[in-house]
Amino acid sequence: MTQQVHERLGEWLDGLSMPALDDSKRRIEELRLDQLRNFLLLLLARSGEDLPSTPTEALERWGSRLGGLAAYQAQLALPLSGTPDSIVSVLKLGQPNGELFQLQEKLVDELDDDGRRVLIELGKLF
Amino acid sequence: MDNTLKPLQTFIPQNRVQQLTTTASPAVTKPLQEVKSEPEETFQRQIELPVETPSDLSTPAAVVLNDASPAPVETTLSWKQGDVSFQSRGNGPIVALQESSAALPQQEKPASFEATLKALAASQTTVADMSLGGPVSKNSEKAPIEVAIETAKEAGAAVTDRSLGELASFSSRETQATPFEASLKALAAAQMEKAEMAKAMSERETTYLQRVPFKDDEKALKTRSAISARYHDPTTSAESVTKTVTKYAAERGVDLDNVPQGLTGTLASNPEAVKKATQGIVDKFFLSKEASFNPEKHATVSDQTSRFLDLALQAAPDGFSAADAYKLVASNLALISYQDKAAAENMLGDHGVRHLLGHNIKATEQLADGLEKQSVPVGAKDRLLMHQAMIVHDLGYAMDSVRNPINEEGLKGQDAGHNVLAARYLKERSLDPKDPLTKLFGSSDLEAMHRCILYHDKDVNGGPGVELSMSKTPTPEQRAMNLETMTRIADNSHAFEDKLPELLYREPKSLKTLRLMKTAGELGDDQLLKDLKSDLAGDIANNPTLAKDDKEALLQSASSIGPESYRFSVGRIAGSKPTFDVSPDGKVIVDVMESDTHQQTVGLFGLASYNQMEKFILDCTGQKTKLQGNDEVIEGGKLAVNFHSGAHRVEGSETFNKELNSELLADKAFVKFSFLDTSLAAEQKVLEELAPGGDAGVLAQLGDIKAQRRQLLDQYRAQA
Repeated sequence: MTQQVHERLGEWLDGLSMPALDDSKRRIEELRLDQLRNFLLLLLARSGEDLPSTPTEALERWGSRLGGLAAYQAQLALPLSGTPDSIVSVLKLGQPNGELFQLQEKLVDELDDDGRRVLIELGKLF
Repeated sequence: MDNTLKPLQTFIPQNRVQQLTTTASPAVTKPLQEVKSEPEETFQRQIELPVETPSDLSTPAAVVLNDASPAPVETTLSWKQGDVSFQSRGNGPIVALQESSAALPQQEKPASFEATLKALAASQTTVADMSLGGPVSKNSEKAPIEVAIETAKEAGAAVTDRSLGELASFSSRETQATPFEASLKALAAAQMEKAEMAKAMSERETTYLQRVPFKDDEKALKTRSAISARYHDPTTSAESVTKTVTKYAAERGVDLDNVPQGLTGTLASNPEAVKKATQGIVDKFFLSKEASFNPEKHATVSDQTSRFLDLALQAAPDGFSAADAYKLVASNLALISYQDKAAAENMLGDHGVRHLLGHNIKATEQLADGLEKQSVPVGAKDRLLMHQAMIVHDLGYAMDSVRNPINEEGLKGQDAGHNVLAARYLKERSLDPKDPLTKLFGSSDLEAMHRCILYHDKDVNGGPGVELSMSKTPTPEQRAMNLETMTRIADNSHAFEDKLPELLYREPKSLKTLRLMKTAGELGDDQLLKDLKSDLAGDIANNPTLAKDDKEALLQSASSIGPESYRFSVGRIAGSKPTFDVSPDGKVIVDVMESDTHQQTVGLFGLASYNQMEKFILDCTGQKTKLQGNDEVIEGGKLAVNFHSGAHRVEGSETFNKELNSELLADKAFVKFSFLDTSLAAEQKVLEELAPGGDAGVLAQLGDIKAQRRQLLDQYRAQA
């Protein structure tokens, strides 16, 4: 399962752009990429073998009751474009009071052993 | 042809000079002249030949130099045995230069060279300390005096095999082709070779000390000065290190000073006995509750010790004794064990068994195979040389001048220049004719080994130095360069999971502590940091499976960790089990496969875990790259790295994987804490970077984030 998740995640993130290695904005974009990557990975890990084909489909499946669902789906429609910061600043993934932070808390609690393995193997926990 | 041989100059260790100056007759031998240059501090330029013969001694064969005559002979040879100094000139008599000889009473003073040798043999005096002698053996690299004795034998003198004292000086002018003179010429050549080796080694160390760290800014100058201080520290000398390591070994039941009974004859005649005896040492160091108990390391050391002896069997000079083989291997094993313990005490990344033997030596052998496949000769001696170089190359890390400050102050760059400390150690051992290392390796081998050690990570100019000569008949310089290159590639390519610091590798639970400490540090909670360290130390102290040395080292390491420790460690993980090959045009091909272990730890460390591999690629190819965890091929210069991820991965350490699985996968609460905290931590850093001063709104957001992080951490600790 890890390999399929790895490939799907790669497809989703493929359209993003990052500043050059020596660009001063690079550090922030890397942090935002970590947040976004982890979030999308969690949606996939929660899905088990039945992997969603797009982030919007994944969000529909696991976050159908979110108040801002439509806005989030708009940000995550494939192909993703722009920089990670341009997406994450709308999703507010790292804000404790944000809807998506709370969704992550719920989903990570619901993971089975396989899902947790995927998170450990492909996510960023440091 | 210039027939005038220059006065022989040699370098001898300070302690030997002291001995010579106190025993040689001042009436005959001129005072020693000290020549001090930076790295030669422990050496003195020696050998001023006696130019006048005291009247109370037998008159040597007089030689009158006459330009018109055939090349005259004037040979002066002096040496000492015990407290007696001897001298001979030309083919004339050998004279004792010190009257009050206990070893050879005045009345027995012989009148001729042969008679002297007979008398020496008859005296059966044991020479306690010889710098150029050593027991007469069938070793092809004979000490000079042994060569002279063999000549005497050939001339019909009845000389028995005895230790014959220490050659103190020798010189010769053009010789007639008598066997004696030819031997003395050979003697002179061997002396000159040793002197040149010592000079070359010293010069390389001087240059290194002047250049390292290959920058010239203010920080670099401070680093250079600190390296120089460590280099000159008395504890860095080979004598001091040997003393320390010998004591360390003795405390673990290994006697480095004596050879077990029964190890007689040559290595070739008794290899199994040597293997059996040295295996006992491996057991004492790596399979003992009183030292270290580590079956994984034990297996690695056992395999490589056996391999070392197999290579020595092929490469050693005829007559290399079983006793010397035992002594060399015993000393190597003590060095390995000593370094392994020192490495386990800090978070620098492994410089013990896994690094020295598990990766580096195997890598050099694969590279040697790659060259041989292309018909470039790499003999058993070359492989043995690299094996020995690898055992010593990181010894600097374990020396007191590096190890103690790291343990006391934490990592602050004290390891810089560790190469030159190990190089000094080898140089000083290379000058000791009693050292089995000098009986196994010739001067040119030792010089090449010194280069491998000194330049094991960067070449003489601070560059990557990936340059292989594909000549089928390499010159000595091409051979040395190839050995250097193989050493560097092997060392620089150890960027993989078993390079993890011992604390993380042996106690995967400590990964979680590092993770919690990261959060505590970012929250600025010093008390929590102390508590976390204390908890970890308690776990180690109460772990009944850890042997004495392992426990001591891990406790030291645990006491050294801080909130930033993970940064230094995680960058060292990149993949696993690389393989090496060489193309027909001399390009080195490195295949790196991602390991199971890495797959699991990449989650903890993220893409930063590829940093070391990226650095390796940059160093070797000049290509700045950012690995993304996919299959990639990076080429540059004389090196190509094929990085295989995911599906190609290979198994790493079973024990480590098992423990990591149980520590991480089974701990649902930890996964939850670290996953959510990572997102909060990223948010905190973004806010701090975007608004360093912080307006009220940003500060409020930061407050919320930190409160949430604290809550998650407390929740996790409460249930853990």
